[in-house]
Amino acid sequence: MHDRRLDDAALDRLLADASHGFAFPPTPTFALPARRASASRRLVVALALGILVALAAASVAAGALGIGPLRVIFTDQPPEQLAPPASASRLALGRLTTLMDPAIGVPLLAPPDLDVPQAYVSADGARASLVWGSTAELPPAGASNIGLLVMAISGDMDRAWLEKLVDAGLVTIEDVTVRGEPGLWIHGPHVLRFRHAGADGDEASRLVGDALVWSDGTTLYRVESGLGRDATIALADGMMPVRR
Amino acid sequence: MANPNSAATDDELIAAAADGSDVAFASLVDRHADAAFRAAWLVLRDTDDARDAVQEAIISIHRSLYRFRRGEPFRPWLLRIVGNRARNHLRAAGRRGRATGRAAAEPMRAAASPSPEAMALHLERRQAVLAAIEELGRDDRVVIGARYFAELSEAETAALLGVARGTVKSRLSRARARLREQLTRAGVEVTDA
Repeated sequence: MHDRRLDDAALDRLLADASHGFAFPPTPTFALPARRASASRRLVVALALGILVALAAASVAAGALGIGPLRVIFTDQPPEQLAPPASASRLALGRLTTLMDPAIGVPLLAPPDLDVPQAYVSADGARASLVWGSTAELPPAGASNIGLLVMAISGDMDRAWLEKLVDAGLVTIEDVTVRGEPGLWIHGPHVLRFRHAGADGDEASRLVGDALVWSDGTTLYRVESGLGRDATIALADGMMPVRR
Repeated sequence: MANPNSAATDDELIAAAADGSDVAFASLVDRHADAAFRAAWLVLRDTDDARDAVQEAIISIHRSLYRFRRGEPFRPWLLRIVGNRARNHLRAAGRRGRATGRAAAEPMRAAASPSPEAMALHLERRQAVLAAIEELGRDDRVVIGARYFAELSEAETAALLGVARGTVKSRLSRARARLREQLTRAGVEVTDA
């Protein structure tokens, strides 16, 4: 057995080396309390506070609206100040890939009668997006040249979360039913921010237009389109699982 | 795309949050969430308990923002509240030293090496260091974890532990001495590289 004394410098080297490889558990998502606005100010109130309270109390994905890892926050800042308009090259969707990429860790849905989309996946596979360019049948969604975007996000609260930052004066939010599940139709420009918890936490935010959101209990789905509410819901109702 | 609040100082975010901006408060939490959670985890060694402690701290801070003295560093204040909440959890569970009568505390783990073949010996030594730290008492583990793994400053560590900075110095010195003994007994070799 070695009996070699460790001096301070040697101990420091060992600890410094250990710290380089040390792995904390991933930082989870924290619910944020909100204030009630005074009558003289524009609203700064978290929508669906029940979701935030449920998350804080039980740390489960389902909230008052059953929309998985989504929270919607009202802000009095114009959306343009929170994120500039997105372009196709700045969608911050992750890595361009193929539908068959095994790194995609969420079940995908897509309309059965459209061309093959571009596929994107986040670094940890917890978020994947299918993107179709705008055409005569798919008018531009929001300020980009996207015709349709279908995003799937893992419902695991410790891995990913979404925020929608909405200006109460510009955006309406409506309860809808999508594929038999409760959903939200968000009409108007707002900022989408998403991140994945973990040592290499990835955060991105962008300005988006109308969006339809629902959860099937394990996966959160977002659809961005320029088709309007009824047509977007019909499109979502008719989507089929992508076989991979 | 970067969060536009990322350029704001803590003071600016605190001022905006105290004035009612939920976006500013969200940015403030984002900025310090990792440090807060890791600090709580070092004390509690349980992901769920650490999450609860930090969540309680966030709510408490949100209520107390108006009292925060501008110009003072925010993180030590945050860590003091997190440390208090974490110790409350410990007291409530009646824990002393290592967890007993329930699932063992989550161990310290080394991250996987990107090149395991080349780093095999290195990883083995890291594991030995972490195992030796695991053998230390709670206070020793927390002060070493705070200073070396969570990279908290002396002031931040003092805030987390709820002690004076001089106490952090002396605790760290004693913890290092005990760790040195563990490592020497374990035969951990040190190179000059």
